[in-house]
Amino acid sequence: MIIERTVVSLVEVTPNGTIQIRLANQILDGETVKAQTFQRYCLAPGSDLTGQPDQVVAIANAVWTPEVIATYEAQVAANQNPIGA
Amino acid sequence: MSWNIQTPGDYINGPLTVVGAATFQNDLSLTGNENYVYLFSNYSIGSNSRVRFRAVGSGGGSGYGGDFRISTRAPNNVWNTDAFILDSAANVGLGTSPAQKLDVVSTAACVVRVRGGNGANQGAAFYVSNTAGTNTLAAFGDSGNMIGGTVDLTGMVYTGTGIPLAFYVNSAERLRLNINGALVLQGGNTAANGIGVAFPAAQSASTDANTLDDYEEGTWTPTFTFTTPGTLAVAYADRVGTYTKVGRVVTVRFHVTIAPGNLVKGTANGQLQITGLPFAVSVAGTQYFDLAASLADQSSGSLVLGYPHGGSSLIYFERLSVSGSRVIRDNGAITDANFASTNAGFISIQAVVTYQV
Repeated sequence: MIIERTVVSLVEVTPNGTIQIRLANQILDGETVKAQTFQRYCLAPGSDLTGQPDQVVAIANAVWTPEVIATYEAQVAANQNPIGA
Repeated sequence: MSWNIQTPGDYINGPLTVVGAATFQNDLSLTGNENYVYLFSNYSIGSNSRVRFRAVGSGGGSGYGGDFRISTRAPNNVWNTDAFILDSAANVGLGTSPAQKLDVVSTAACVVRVRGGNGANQGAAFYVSNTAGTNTLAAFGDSGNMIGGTVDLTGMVYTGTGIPLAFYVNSAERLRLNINGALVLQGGNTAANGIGVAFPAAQSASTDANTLDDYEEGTWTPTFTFTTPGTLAVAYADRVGTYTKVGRVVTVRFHVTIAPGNLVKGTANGQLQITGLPFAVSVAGTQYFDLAASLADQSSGSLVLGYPHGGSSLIYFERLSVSGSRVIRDNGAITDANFASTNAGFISIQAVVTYQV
């Protein structure tokens, strides 16, 4: 039977705490993946985790310490508008 | 026939000596306690060449199990004892008691050579298959027409229908040619279609500057927002994002269109952003890249410059101005202040951006 599903196929954490999530949109015949495409998004430290997959929430809660979030926010502020006003 | 009965112990002068050709019209049985049968020749090089063979009991319930073993004699008169063994299970050993159907052992260099003729359909080949002749792996030294082709090949490795070719290195599969012809690196999709290189599903990063270690294609969802979204409300007429990652370089293409009346700023404030990039931008230095963008219905003018934000997964926008014959950066961010509370015209951003991760 052919079914279609979306699964979390990869979760990566960058050095600054950004979580990169890859979803796989799969077409399966039984247990065999006949075709799949990827969709990605990122979550910055401190992002709202509402609606995120459980494993992403677990990783975020483990990685996003107050220090990581503070460092990230400082980095964002430092890099904002690098052209200069 | 002459009978020569002497004291046993000499190879030549046994109790029975037959001089001249002899014919045995029925079975010839030689019985002993795993003793040898010797063959002597004084023909060709040397005058006293020797080999010997014997049956060696292999045990078993019947007591009839036996190996056939041949020993040869080296030029220094040392016996290569049991150099050839055809054991009771029909396994063949060269230099060893066979543990496999064909077992070849040497304490020196050990080479198995297969040589064919020089003409068409005479090439050397090595075939491995099941008894049905399927699940075949073959190596040809020559002649593609041996397998039904029409052109001789210099060399070829062949597999049968439905059989991929995998390469194991250091006890693990490192490379595979799948049945579609795709080259699958370790961890790649073994069922990948098309002709190409299938990289691992998860990147195995290399620090070697000359190693391409990743490739991936996919989609992402660009989001039109501001630094602080607040009560921002956006409805998209068009919203598409794709990406291609090659090594550490990502190229994204996206298109966002908002129809009149579908951008309500509310309490949003700060810099305009496109968020949702598929990979975080490298934090190593400021990420300036060319951005082809068209941003309409905002008060800063139609010329903008964008840059993926280092360490984040978003794109910021800057104003560009025309000064005489030049286009210049005027060092101003595009912010919520450049947009009406509710947009009266179409807002469209379309860009192709390449950045480093």
